[in-house]
Amino acid sequence: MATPIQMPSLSPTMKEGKIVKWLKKEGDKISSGDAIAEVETDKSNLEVEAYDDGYLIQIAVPEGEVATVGAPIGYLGAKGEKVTGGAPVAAAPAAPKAEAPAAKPPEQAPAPAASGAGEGLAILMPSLSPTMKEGKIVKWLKKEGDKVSSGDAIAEVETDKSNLEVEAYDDGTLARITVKEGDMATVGAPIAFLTPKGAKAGTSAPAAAPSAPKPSAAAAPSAPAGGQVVPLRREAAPASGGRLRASPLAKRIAQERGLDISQVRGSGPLGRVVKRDVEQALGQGVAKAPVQAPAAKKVGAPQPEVRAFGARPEPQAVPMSSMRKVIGQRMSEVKPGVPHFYLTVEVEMEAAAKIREEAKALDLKVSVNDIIVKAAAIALRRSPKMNVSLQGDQVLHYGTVDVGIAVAIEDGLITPIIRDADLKGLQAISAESRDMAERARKRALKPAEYTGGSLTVSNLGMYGIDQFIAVINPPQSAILAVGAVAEKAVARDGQVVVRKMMTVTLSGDHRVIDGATGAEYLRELKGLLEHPSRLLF
Amino acid sequence: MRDSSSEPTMPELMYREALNQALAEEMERDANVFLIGEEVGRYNGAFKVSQGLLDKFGSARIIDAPISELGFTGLSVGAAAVGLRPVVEMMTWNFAILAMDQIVNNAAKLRHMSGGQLRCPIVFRGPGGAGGRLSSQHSQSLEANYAHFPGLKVIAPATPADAKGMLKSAIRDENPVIMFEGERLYALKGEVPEGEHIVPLGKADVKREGTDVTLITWSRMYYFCMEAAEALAKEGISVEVLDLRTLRPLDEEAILASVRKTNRAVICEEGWALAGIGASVVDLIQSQAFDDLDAPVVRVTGLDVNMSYAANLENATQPDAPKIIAAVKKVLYREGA
Repeated sequence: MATPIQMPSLSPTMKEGKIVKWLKKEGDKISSGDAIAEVETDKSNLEVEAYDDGYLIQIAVPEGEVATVGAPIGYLGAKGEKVTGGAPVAAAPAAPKAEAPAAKPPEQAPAPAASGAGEGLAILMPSLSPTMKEGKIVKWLKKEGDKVSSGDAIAEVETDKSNLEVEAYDDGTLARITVKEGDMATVGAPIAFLTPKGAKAGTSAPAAAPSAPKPSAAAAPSAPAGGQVVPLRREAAPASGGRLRASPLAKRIAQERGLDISQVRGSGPLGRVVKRDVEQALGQGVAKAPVQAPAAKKVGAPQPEVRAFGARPEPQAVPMSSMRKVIGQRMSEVKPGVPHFYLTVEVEMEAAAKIREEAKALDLKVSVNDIIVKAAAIALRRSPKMNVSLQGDQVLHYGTVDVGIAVAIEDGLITPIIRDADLKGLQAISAESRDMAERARKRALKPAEYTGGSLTVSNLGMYGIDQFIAVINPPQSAILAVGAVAEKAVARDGQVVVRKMMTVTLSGDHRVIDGATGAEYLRELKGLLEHPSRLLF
Repeated sequence: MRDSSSEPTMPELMYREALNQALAEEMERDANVFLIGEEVGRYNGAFKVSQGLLDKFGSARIIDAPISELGFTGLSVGAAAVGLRPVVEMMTWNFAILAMDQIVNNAAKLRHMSGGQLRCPIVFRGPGGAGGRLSSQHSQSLEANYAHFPGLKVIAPATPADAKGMLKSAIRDENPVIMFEGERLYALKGEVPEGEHIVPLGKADVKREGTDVTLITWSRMYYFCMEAAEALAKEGISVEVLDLRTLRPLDEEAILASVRKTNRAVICEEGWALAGIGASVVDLIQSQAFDDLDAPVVRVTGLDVNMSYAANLENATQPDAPKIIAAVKKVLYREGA
């Protein structure tokens, strides 16, 4: 059976890739891991590897041609096998503008009849604020089987503005809860069913009432249709971007005892599930009753911690709050894409310039930009609210400070990342910047070198630009536009004096950062650059 | 520091006295055994390990060598090849570096290079590790260097009883054995069985039973580990202390058994971290007992610097009980680690 080799996504922004060179020819034997083609992406040239063993039975995209991500560029199969049938061949040569055969969103579950089915009376998610589109059940105040009177508060709901109680409008028995604590439901969707007084609790109440315009909670565990993974019950998903942290021993015990380890709250570092957690969970019978997952522990920005040398903590994913979501939506309505806001500040660069002179006297290459990168990083470390990025419905809070530097190259722009810039000295930042800029120009950067981070420093000072506004490099949440250092007449203690001045403009992603947060950050940055000795504290 | 691992009814001897006893007993037992080294004869040994042996066995068997490590080591390798059983005393292992070629290229490989026709029953022994304000050229823990070479056995007993029993085993072994004696252990007292007391090579010893974490160690660090284990016991943490005793070959079975019991391990060694013995122990654990681990293995090692002369800096560069306690808490994910 011929297996297609698909154009992989080799960068976060890659939509298509050009086959620069085939490293194997038709008929060649291929082992998993073999580099089979060189591909030019929007960022750099990279090798495509095979993930299976077999023979390259057909090259579908010749050298020099472009294929969209996901399109077959060749076929693997048994020796002598031919790619037969129209399907693979037709799918093969991806026209540059062709839609990638990527996943289609799953069909939306049909909206339930508002009145519910059978004997049940539906209790609907009410609209509790003018902007509310969906609400999260924080807590059920009644349980299935409880008698309910009209006016009873039956559930606590988190809206985009506040937490409010939902009341029952009828008397009866709470027959079935369809939206669990922690789950979302769109306004108007049933969250529970009530058996009216006198009637028998019906078993025909809707089995899976959709809680949101996505597959229902009850349907969620099934395999994702069409390849799109929509983790509905986000709160129950493992923390840190889906990666489950558990010790090998904990995993083994959980497996042996048939325990779903993703349901266990971890007490180790970064929520790692360890033996004692599994044993505790087994004692409480967690396997049968899913409980609030480790994500619950993650709410709130991560505390800075002392790291072991070489250790790089994963960013912590915190689900977006309802308020944050609405801010995000409204900002996006006003300015499609990333809704920017801008803050500008003037910075006196006398002291920073002196550092550069001192470095020069020591024969060290340190640029003004290196000092800015370092200050931007230290300021980020001190403003954890700035060190975030928006990924879907979650805000990633980074435990490391990774700063991008915008590098103009012949046919575009790329932002290599200086990892742990807050921990590195100026010389290290300088050397790394120069090395990365050089390799960026040669298009030799690896994807890991230009992905991640929360902020980029974009400096057009060398072109004599005094001030400009930069566009955020998504999914980062901010960018600093740095102008030239120039002598200006400024007032100091009532006197007009000449000082080396520089203008910095921060563009912030208003979905996750607010003006005050950005302003605090800029104040810190200005303080650091004007009094560089503060970089030491 | 007192050793409390042995039975309570035995006589107490200093570490150096236990070694002296082992030498004397083996020389009495086998006329082929002789001791050679600098100051081992008339001066009774730089650390008095050979006290009284010259008088007892004469200068043909207790041989004072000039300052010529490469020479007297080579002579001894030749002697071993023709049937004698030399014990070569290095004034410290730091000086034995001069004799590295004879140890590594000849002693370790004689059997291999001769297709099994020649044996090399020889013991190289002497003090290693920090000596107490002797600075960087005299304070190195070089076990890892020798443990690297196939053909050598490497031992490092911590207690006087083990020192006696293992030296006797080493002398009777048909292969070259490197014996590290902690320089600061010589005056340490402990109960030592009288007469025939043999501790087999290649066998680690659980010196303290525990359930929460395994502390793996050897030589002088064993005492810091015991100190840490006792302090941790007061906090309700049950520490198992495994004294490796032999570093090549490693007692893999004992290491794995203990880690499978406690699920967590801390390795403490006086030497440097990079390419250290502990690194091999970590490799063994993660490759053979990965599914039994509840936390990453942590190592406590000497700092990656040359040893300082100043006493406070010397102490700061080495593992000690507080550092071990912190490591144990780290591996247990306890607060304050």
